[in-house]
Amino acid sequence: MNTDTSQFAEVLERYGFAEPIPPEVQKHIRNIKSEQFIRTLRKAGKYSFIFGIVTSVFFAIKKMGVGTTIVKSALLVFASAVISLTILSSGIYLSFKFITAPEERIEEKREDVVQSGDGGIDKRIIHEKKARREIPEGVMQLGVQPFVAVNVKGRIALLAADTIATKLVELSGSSRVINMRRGREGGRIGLMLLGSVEDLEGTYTITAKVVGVRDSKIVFYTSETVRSIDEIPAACTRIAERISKIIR
Amino acid sequence: MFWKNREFAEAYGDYYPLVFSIVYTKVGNIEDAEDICQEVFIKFYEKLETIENRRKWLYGALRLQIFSHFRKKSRGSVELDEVADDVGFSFVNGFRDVRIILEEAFDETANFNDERERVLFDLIAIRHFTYEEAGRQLGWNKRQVRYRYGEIVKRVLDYLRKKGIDKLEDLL
Repeated sequence: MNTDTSQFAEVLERYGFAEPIPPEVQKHIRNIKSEQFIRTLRKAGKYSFIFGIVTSVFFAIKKMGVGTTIVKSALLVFASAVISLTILSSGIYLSFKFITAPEERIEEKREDVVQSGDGGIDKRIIHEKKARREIPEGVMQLGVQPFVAVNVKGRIALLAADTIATKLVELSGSSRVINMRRGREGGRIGLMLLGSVEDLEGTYTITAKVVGVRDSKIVFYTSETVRSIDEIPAACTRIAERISKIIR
Repeated sequence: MFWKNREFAEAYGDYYPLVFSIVYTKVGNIEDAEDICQEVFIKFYEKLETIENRRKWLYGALRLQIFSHFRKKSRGSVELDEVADDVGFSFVNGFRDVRIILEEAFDETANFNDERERVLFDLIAIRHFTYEEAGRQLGWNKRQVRYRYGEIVKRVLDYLRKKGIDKLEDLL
């Protein structure tokens, strides 16, 4: 076979068919083909950016000695574009999610424990790491302040505030309501619930007002009057239900 | 539009090395060869739907374009035959007959499976492209090129046998 082809080459040479192209020109042809094609198409006024990309891929694949067609190259470009877009959009989505998601912040809480060991005061500081969920921007929280007691024992007023706070948490969620007496968990408190329990000649009046933190305006006011202390929790539940409607 | 561009791109991919090689052989410099090729292929694009035999059409168009190129350079005093520079005329008697038989063999459709094989044959046999380079022009690997070229040569030799040329040595 090799003898045939080499003899055949000699015959072509002898009969003047051979018109050899120098190797560097052969290489040049390969290298400029794609570029020249785009120039030709531009000059013919038929160039489009997408088709330019497809043909660049087409010629690049052929250059590697791999057979392909324009349709296959177009599919390859389309598939690559879809994959790239998917990766890009996933990246953007995840970045956006990371930026806007509630941040799990590690907060260091210092807790002082007073311990009497040998009669003296032993102060130890315990460092405790606690993960705290930050309230998303735009969610307004309601802080429930301890109620004021007027002619009643202080614990009755505290109990009333706690009952309302507990019921509110139940109705509106813990992200919306904070019982200030049990410690502030951070977040954005925009409203404050203030109130009182008052004994007026054997009747108990529970008043509650929701006040805007920024401008101190009363945005909601309600009250309940009951005849005995035992009825206070039920009255507090009713108040909580009314308040929950305005902070929803 | 896409169909036409697709057809054009695929034909361009196959014929460009051949057209460029022929033009380069005639004009002898790369820049002029690039310009002439561009003109030929613009015309080829415009007439793509009406062309029946692309290779023959390209041969004709590039011949005219080369002629036009030389005419511009020599300010109109060139003849088409001078440009064609048909090497066949320089052979006499038996040599010319053999050359004609060989030309017929290269023209015979049965010796090639398709137009790409014809281009491959021209690139390797006439333009002396290496197997690897010819493959990179046409999108075949070296092994495929060697096999295909070998098969073409076999078919051409069979054709020559039918024409009474039993051995290549007789022609040397």
